[in-house]
Amino acid sequence: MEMGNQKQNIIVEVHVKSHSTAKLSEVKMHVLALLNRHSMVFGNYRWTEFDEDFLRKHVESVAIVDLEEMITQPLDLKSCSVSVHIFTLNEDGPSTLSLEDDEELSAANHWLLPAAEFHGIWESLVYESGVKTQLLDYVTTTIYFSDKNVDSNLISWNRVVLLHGPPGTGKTSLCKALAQKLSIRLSSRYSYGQFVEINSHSLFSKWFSESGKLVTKMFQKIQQLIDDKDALVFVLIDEVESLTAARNACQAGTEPSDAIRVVNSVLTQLDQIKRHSNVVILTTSNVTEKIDLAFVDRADIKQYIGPPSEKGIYNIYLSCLEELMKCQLIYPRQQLFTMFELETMGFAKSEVSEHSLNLRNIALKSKGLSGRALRKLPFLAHALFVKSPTVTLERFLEAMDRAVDKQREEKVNLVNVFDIVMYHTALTCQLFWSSC
Amino acid sequence: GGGIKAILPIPSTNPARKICESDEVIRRAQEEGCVNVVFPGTVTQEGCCRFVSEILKCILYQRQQLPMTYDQLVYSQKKQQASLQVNRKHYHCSVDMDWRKCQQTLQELEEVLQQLEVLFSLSRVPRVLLLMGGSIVLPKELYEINMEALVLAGGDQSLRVSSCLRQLFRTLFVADLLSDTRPVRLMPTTVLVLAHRDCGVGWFRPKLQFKVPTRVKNQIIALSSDPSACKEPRADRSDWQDYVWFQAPMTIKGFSN
Repeated sequence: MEMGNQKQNIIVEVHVKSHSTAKLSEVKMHVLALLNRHSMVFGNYRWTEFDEDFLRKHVESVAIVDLEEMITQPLDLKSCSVSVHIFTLNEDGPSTLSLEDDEELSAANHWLLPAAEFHGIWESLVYESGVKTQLLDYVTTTIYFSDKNVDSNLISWNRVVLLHGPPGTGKTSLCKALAQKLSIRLSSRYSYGQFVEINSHSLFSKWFSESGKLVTKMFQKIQQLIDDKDALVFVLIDEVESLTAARNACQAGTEPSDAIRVVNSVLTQLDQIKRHSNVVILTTSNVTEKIDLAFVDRADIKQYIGPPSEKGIYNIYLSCLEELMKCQLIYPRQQLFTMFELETMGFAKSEVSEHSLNLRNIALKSKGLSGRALRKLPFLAHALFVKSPTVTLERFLEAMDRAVDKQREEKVNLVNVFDIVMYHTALTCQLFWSSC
Repeated sequence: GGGIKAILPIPSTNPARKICESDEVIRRAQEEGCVNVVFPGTVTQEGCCRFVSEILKCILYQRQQLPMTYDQLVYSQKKQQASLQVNRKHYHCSVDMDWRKCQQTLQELEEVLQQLEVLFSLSRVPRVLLLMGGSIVLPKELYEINMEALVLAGGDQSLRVSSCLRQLFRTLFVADLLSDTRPVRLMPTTVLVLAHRDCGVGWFRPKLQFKVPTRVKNQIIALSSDPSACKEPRADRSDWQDYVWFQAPMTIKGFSN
């Protein structure tokens, strides 16, 4: 088939209320009718209010998601192929996988997907265009491949994902969001998702030579989850460098040999479980250089997650301000443009674009701050410079501007403090060695 | 509740036959993790609710999630409350703490029991699951109360609840399904019930995707009516088509002294 003729694929996510007992087939029928009534869309859109009783009663939201960028022309859903994914959220919090029956040692947290706790994370993460969808497509493909038993000796692929980049850029959150998204997308194939977050530090036992055993025990638990072929299991190993650094240190002779056993054990166990088609292994790292090569080689999908771009920062701030206006902490509500709209206007100055342009300047100034710091900024702005229950958008933007200045200042100071500490440590070491 | 009182041995007219029967019950419980209780007639819907409540209380006690039986706890709690009000300052903080933990567990259990009553007034409940520890897909222990083969009828034509409970607990204790000499850790207990999709229950949350965990030993207590003793027909498999799982929104946490 020619690419031009291929129908555009539209993905619709239907969030069913947690108290609903409606049949999936019925929900789907009503959603398709809704899309039929409103078939012209201008990019991603979310319905939360409905013009009919059934949807009002059973459905929280219907959303057209993950359309790339803004589309210039309206889309007619009738000429697209629409896939509808229906889900309800699991409201129970995480449970722990404990290893010892008599000991309260929890080696991993464990969620049932899609989890209420992970809801909305995907939307809140803003990266360069394509990063999120690309990751999603990558993992979806690997799952399709494994599901169809494609011989991995002929076409090489695996289901190990490594996200690396500076701290505070949302790598861990992205892993959670990705798992949530996939469990929704693949719900027709797997009846539920499981998310296991391993606490790597808990694998190092206080008893010498016991650590290897703990690792084995933990992976036995995970294996039990994998044995259910209806479940899609995500295993997250956060800050994987802490595990693998141990091995390097060991080779340098500074770490007891127990540590190397843990790492080797983890690597072997990972090799064991990744053979199963219903497992995705997600790992994150703040540094790429320090990770064990043996591990980097094992990951097929490596994605650098950098600090947000100016556009990303703008979008993060925009979502924060929308939230504050929704909660009426900023009052009255005023129009803010999206970056796309600003670009189309050629950043022309006018009365309506004034606030948006101010926000863009703040975003430009904020470059270099981490995503975590950015999401905290509106709070700091309010705490430090507003101090009243409601405030106008204009005044709030001023406060944010000052808060950014303060943040940047603090960052410089922090770096200086760090330098001083390092200097003193070096001095102490020198003294120690010279006294020996 | 009269559940626990039923532990007392019941005089039997034919001891030899009784022993044979018990052997069979023990064997099935040990090998298949299943205890069958066949009632000689029909039961009421309220009766079913009582069976579930009493089994729940009994399992919590037998699996060491409660230090005393439920009824003993309620009694001692009331007594303690009275004395607490009289001379509160004489109590140590730790006593107070224990008292509050006990109070919390009792409140949780009380709430679940009440909501079970509401549920049973809205829908027939063919199966109830008690999941202990772990997660709902992989619990540490799993108990099922299966009532699919019970034949229901009005109060005037049915067996008395108290005599059914006596028979139920006698069989349970003979089967020795619940005892374990090893100490058990405290763990949360989750109640899941199979009820009609449209019964309109609000407190329990539907879990349409839920499937009974298969990788853990399922201990089944199967209650049924002797078909030869009932005029009414038994429910068919197709009758349960529109039944879905509902989960209690809270767990019972248990405590020890």
